Amino acid sequence: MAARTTQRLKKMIVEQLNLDRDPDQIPDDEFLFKKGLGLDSLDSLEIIVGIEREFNVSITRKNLKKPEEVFSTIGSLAAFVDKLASEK
Amino acid sequence: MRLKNKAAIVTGASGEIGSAVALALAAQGAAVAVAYHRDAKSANKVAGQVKKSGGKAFALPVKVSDHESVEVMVQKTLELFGRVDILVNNAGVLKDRLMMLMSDEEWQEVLDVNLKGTFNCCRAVLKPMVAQKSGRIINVSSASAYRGVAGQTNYAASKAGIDGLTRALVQEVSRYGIQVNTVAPGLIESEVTAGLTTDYRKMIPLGRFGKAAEVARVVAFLASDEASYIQGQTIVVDGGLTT
Repeated sequence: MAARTTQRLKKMIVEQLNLDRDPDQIPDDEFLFKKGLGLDSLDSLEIIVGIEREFNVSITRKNLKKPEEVFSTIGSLAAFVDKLASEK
Repeated sequence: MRLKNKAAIVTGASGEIGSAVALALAAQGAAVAVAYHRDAKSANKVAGQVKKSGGKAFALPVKVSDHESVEVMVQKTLELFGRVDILVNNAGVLKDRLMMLMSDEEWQEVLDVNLKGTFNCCRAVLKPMVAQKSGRIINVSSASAYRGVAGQTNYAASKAGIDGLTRALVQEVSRYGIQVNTVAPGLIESEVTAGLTTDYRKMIPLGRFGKAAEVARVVAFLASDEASYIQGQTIVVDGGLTT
């Protein structure tokens, strides 16, 4: 489940944010911000609504208690998405 | 019909300015959620007026200082209208008292409703607006934030806070096609201003109080495509009071 989520996330982020990257070439431990994918904090708003649409989950202030940790790498974000999906 | 197929939420929509705003947006074709706190009768009248003219509207009670109540308001609007394009943060209270005599409660309630209420409502519409990559938020501030009035330290602080919130929020949401602006009315004809004992007209270059419809027209303009390049601004509608 985690590997598939990671792959879907990479594809979604590349498409939604128009990144010039091949999703299959992005490592799971790639950082989202700065020297990783080069995103900035405002991109996280689009990632949130993208995840809700793609994975049919709801991201709230209650379940996103540590946004800095969740939005660290592709892997940490995928783990969070899997957790939300399992709680549905 | 500049706002055809748009859905709007207007808070404080049972009062003079709020009801005029709700009617002005509806006149341009917007479906309107008429959010009120206490005056259900007036809010239902506004919603009824919109429906009678062939528009869509519903009235609902909201406590803007309570984020759960605000989230219900947005959810209900999404359920009934399918989207939220326009938010007008108009709900506000006055608890005037000279600072030396002002209670903690008088300070806090004004900050809670006027400033935190604006924060709660803005925050609640951001997700749908970011998802649809468009939206208009119009905050209602006050000329009192620019021209000090004795007895209004709480009110002026809350309204000046709204101006700051507007300019900071613009930096967060502009890339998602969301525009945030503020309208700052001066002295507007209402039950409150009718009871004023000082003749404030002498201080107003245009020599009269404003009408709620004159504020509403500016809000409707900011909600429309005509205002497509106005971002993070405060438009003062005060007949020259603050000049």
